Amino acid sequence: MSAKVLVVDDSRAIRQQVGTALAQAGYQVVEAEDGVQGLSAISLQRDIAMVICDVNMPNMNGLQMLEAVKADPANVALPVFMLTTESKADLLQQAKRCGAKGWIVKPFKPDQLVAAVRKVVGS
Amino acid sequence: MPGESRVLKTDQEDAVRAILVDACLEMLVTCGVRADLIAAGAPVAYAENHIASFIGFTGSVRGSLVIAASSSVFDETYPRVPRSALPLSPADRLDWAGEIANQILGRMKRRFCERGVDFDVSNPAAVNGRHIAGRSEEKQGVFELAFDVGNGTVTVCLDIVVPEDGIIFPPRAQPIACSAEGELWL
Repeated sequence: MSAKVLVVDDSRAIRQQVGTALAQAGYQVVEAEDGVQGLSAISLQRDIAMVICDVNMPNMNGLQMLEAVKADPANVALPVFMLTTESKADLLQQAKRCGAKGWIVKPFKPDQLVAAVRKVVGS
Repeated sequence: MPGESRVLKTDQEDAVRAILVDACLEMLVTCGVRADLIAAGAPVAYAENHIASFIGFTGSVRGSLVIAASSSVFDETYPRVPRSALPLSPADRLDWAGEIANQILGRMKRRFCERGVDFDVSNPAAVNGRHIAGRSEEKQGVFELAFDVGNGTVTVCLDIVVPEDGIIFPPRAQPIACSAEGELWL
């Protein structure tokens, strides 16, 4: 059974790009359009093995979602990667404090993303 | 409109223009198209433009960025991973147009931060239309560029509110730490 990865991004183009790369690498992919949908997916699908999440999104941004995810003791070990055009060190530090595992600045290379996911959840 | 009668200093104007040109060229090349900056004053085929995306920013400086091009340009630049050559729906095209504006502004932000100037970015939006392009009255703080991308033209309009002293990059500003593109483990 392949690992399930949740991709949270308000851009369908990015969700599709990330999702296709991960699906081709053998992962199951589920999508959410913002932090609210992302939180809902995590609470409903307990088999999600990793989250890849944008920062700037409507309704609930990625850092707010990260905080909410990590506030639930059941999700402390759930690895979250931020995938964003944001690159400021203070935001990275905030994400780190909130428990993010990694930060990828867009644009990303699909191979690089898949390799990072493999390191976290295995093949 | 604040800043309307203010004058942007020449070195500041040159610096902003260089950052904008680099950010656009990098983005377009990353999308796999060859892009050439069209010389100022050369004719630009705005009539081909069917989609425009818009993104705003605010912080130490504020303004907006508009990107316009034909549908075929957005189709060509869409990031397809191998074996996923999907036809783009109109909604996908608009979404991708917004993402291009977002990623160009993201690149600009990193370079502004290197010079000590930071801003927050809005969520992008995009529209369909005819003969559309970012266009403004001749005024300070407006940068209009066009790029030849082989099968069409990408037009870009950056509008920055000019500060009172005409300086966007303070001479002794400390760089704001940023990371480069790519992966970073926390």
